[in-house]
Amino acid sequence: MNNFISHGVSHIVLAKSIKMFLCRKRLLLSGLAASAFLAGFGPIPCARAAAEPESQNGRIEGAVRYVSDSERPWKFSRYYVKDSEKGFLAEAVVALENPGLRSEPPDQKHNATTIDQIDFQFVPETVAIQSGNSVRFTNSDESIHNVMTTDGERPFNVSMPKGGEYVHVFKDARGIAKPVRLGCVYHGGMRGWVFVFDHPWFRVTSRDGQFQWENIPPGTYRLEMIHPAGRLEWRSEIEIKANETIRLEIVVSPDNIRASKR
Amino acid sequence: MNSNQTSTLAPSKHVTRRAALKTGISAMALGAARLSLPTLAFSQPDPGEKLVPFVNMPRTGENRLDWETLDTWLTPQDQVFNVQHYGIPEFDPSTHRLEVTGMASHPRSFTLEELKALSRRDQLMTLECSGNGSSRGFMNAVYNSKWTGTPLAPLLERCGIDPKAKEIVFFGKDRSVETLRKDTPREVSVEVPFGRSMSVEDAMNLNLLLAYERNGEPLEKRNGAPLRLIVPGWYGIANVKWLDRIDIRDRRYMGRYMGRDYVTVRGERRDGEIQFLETSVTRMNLKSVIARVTRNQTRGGSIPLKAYGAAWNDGTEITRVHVKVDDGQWREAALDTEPRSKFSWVFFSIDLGVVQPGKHTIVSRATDANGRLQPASEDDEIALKKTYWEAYQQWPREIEVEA
Repeated sequence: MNNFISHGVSHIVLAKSIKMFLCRKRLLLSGLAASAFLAGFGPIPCARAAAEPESQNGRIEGAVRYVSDSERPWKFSRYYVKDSEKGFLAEAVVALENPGLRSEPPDQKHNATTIDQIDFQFVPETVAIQSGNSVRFTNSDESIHNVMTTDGERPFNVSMPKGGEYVHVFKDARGIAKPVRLGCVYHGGMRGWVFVFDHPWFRVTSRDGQFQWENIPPGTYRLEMIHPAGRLEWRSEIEIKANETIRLEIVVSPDNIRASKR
Repeated sequence: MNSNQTSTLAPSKHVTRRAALKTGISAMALGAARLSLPTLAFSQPDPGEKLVPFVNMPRTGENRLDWETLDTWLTPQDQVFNVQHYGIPEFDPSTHRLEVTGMASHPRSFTLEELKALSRRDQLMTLECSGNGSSRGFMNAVYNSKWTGTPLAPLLERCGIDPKAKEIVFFGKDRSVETLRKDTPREVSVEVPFGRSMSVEDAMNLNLLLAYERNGEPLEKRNGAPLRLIVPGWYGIANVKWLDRIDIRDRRYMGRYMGRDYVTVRGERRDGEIQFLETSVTRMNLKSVIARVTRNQTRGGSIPLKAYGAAWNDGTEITRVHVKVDDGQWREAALDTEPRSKFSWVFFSIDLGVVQPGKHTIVSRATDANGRLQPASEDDEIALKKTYWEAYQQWPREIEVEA
């Protein structure tokens, strides 16, 4: 958001953004009627910024929204959907994928991630980082904890006494499909996820279900969303064009809940 | 309801009420939901009743009982926990066999098909991990089920138990290396199967079941498929998963999870002194917990509250549950009259009246027909317990109510 162009130009981009938005309805109609999609359009904020004209890159402003179904309740919604009317979904991981992304330089701002253990929970429960970056684990509870995973090529199992700290470098990029699942051997209900990517085009949705990217190289991408705690999944193709801002709303419902393995 | 009258019970698919509590949806929608409620549920909520989340409790994940949305007496599979000490074994269930070995006049081996051809019985039972309730991070390892299988006692009778036999040992398919006297000159490491045991008398008289179904569906592997021992009224550890051998012996079995772990260390007062004893974790203790608290609209600055919960034990009749708010008086809750079953939890509910906005503590305690009272954390039988198994103390729930 540090490359705002003049107010006049941004109006032009706004118009273009809406056009882009409307022509990408297929992104939004995941298992829902068009009327449901239109009803959900309101909360999306208006365009205020444009892509960088010099770099010719694109931009995405997005939101993930969960539409509940009283006949098929998703019990986790009380944790991740702050406003049940609007349905914006927090702590979902969204990522762009295409083969060219791996040449992107590391995103150093994700190299200071901390996961604390508070009230017998990993906080935050879900993080996303770039491979080679680290996560600092801490324990703020009075109780002893542990942080462990059996996933990936470098599993770990570390005792976490009160005030304990452990830093782990995540070297293996497993992408959105294979997060590193965290647990505590003492408290089986504790769980967390570290998503490790080999590019910086990933986000974890905010408390209001929002995410955005700047400076996306033009091209065709696979856009994926996973909410690991609730096993929600969504994916679609998306085309990024130079100097365009795409506003999209990923709408999911119980239809997007992945079946558990027996 | 006794354990043989279960044919009409099935896992409930009703869920709309849960959603209503969670989201506070309109009274109209709630009314529609109430029409579809089956009998296997908590008492029905009033229109407008909304969940008051517990303070400082961790989120409930998959395969854990979700107390705050609990409304089905038989627990759905996605809320069923599993604990295993040697991992989930890899094997082909289609070739699985159960052997009866040791002091039997007719030792033999059964295929699953042979077991399923034997007499079939349902057993309603609440199964709890004995560590459940030991901390805020482990509060959800309990569930209620209709187990289906063949009774153990007649099968053992057919095998002919030697009158000199004292103990029945149940082995699972899961194995691991165990080390005894570690870091001493007498250290020894051996690979052993997971095992638990009980006396011949208990094994023949407690209505044990060799189960292959839960709630009318085949067992899931993580819960012991294709064959699991079900011991009504005993903690989860006794219910051996992936059961593949029953061994009849004339002396005590002292495997790790019988003789060394799942041993409660507790102090008892004798003549003014505390004497510590080690006892085996076997029968479930009397326990209750507040499952959820709900509120209605604020009236004159006060908020009406209700509480719902569950109580269970080893099958002794549970006669009363009392609930207390903050430092108030204990008040008797209403126990559901249906569904009830000897070894299953009983749901209770209580109108708590009104409270002022702010933080409150709500706690329950159960009483059984023998006059046994669920202890508080400060009572000797909990305070002098040095191990975390058998965590049946009263569990205060904290809530914060907004105006």
